[in-house]
Amino acid sequence: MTDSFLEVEGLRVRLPTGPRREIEAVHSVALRVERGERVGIVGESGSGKSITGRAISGLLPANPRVRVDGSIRFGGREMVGALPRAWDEIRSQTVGMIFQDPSTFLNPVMKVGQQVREAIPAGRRSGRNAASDERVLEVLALVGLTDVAQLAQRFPHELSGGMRQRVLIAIAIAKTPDLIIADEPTTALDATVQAKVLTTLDETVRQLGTALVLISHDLAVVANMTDRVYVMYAGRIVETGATREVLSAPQHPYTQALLRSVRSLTDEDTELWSIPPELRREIDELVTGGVR
Amino acid sequence: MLLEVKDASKTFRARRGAGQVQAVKAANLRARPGEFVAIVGESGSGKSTLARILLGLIPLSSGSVELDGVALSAMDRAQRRHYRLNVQAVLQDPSGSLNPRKTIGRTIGEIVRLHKIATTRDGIDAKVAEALGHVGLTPAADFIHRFPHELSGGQRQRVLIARAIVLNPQIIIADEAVSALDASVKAGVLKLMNGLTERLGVGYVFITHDLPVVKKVAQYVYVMKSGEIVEEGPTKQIFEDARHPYTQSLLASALSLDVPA
Repeated sequence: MTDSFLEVEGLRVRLPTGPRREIEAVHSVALRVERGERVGIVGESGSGKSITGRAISGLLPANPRVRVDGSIRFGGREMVGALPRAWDEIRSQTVGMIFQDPSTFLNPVMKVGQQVREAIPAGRRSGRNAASDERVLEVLALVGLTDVAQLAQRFPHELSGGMRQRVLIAIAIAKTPDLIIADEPTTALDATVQAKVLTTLDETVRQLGTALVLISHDLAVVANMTDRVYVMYAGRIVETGATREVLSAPQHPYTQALLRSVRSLTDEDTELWSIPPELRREIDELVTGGVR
Repeated sequence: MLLEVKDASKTFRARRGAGQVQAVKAANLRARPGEFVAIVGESGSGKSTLARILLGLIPLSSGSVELDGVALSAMDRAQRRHYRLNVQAVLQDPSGSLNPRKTIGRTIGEIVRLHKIATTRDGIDAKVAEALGHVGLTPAADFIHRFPHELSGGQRQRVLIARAIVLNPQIIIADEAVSALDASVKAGVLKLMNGLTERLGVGYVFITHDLPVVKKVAQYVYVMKSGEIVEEGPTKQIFEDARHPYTQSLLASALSLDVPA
């Protein structure tokens, strides 16, 4: 037994890509998250980071050909092969999720306040079988929204992108989960809004002691938000460690190459650098051992 | 060659009610071949509207777009053709800008044929191969028969650039052309764009919200907010000595990899 809050071992996810074809999007991933810990998962598009995030929130497509192997344990409770009802329980109490595009996760025909109310767990319900207005407004205020009484009466399309993302954070934290999984939470937002939303997320998880898994392709976001990081490539974790150390002294050739290209976009004295095809082939070989 | 926007304004009718939205207010901008000009601002600032104005895609409410002093609205057929050949667009989201049912070869070949850059089958093929070569999609034979979904995001973005440069334009309007790409691919596409300036003398109007990229590649920057250009100047000046509070707040919100302890 371990004390980790979330423990993932040998996670493999295979997804169908055609009538007789499938890809192994996640190939033997191991990771753990302690209570209150802030963990990043970085990688390029197609590295399997989002599929990993979906697997640990039980949100992979409900298709019999989507196959998940290995182990995902919340406080020792095995979730691989668990019934959908067990996942519902995890998601209603233990794990909150925030995704890139808030508009697809908000109900367009339901007022914002009502959506937050629905996320507040049953134990906190009053006699009216619903959370109090007070609690709804409290949660909205917690994520830095103002004029919350008015805001609660509005529909998602009446809000800006940044406000919608805050509402999504509010819904995620309304049930006071132990863990929030945020997949590219600010990628669609403008820089100034991104900074504010990240600050909100940061303060909220700190205040509530919530653990955070932040999935992003943006190393700067991960650098500013997490204590520990996993670097993914080709469905595998190639490097892990304290965020600061991994970003300042990367050990794996892929992490080194990724950082070099990221820095070439910002550092003044370096030439623009993208990972050359030969190096990619070498990294592929090193990471996959020829098996994709 | 000089592409110029003079006192351009664009007002849209608001979707509901009788209100109006002034998307661009009295904007002035200049772009030349060989120059890398950036327009920065947040969503809703009017920067994409300004891009579409530069491309002559939307009529102006007032003001003008001029190529070498001739207003777009006053151009005759030949002048308009000249303008279309020389000012090209590369837009965001390559999957939305490419026809999923056409191969890369057909997508680019069609442009060559329509603009009568080449007329024979062999001539068209040669032009397509040349354009793919310029953007580093080589050997071209590996790519012309592929469909957009068979390419990666970075490769699709390169196809869009190939489609723009096949006409040998002098100025490319690039609206969020690299925003959706991974760092390594982004660096590759930007390097390619710089290379085209060196080899073919292409100039860019680069529209983005990605400030680090602007700092790295642009020579001159326009900052837009609520439809107005609130500040402009050489890149160095904007980044080192921003005057407008909005520019300052934009600069301050950029996250760095190196987090202070």
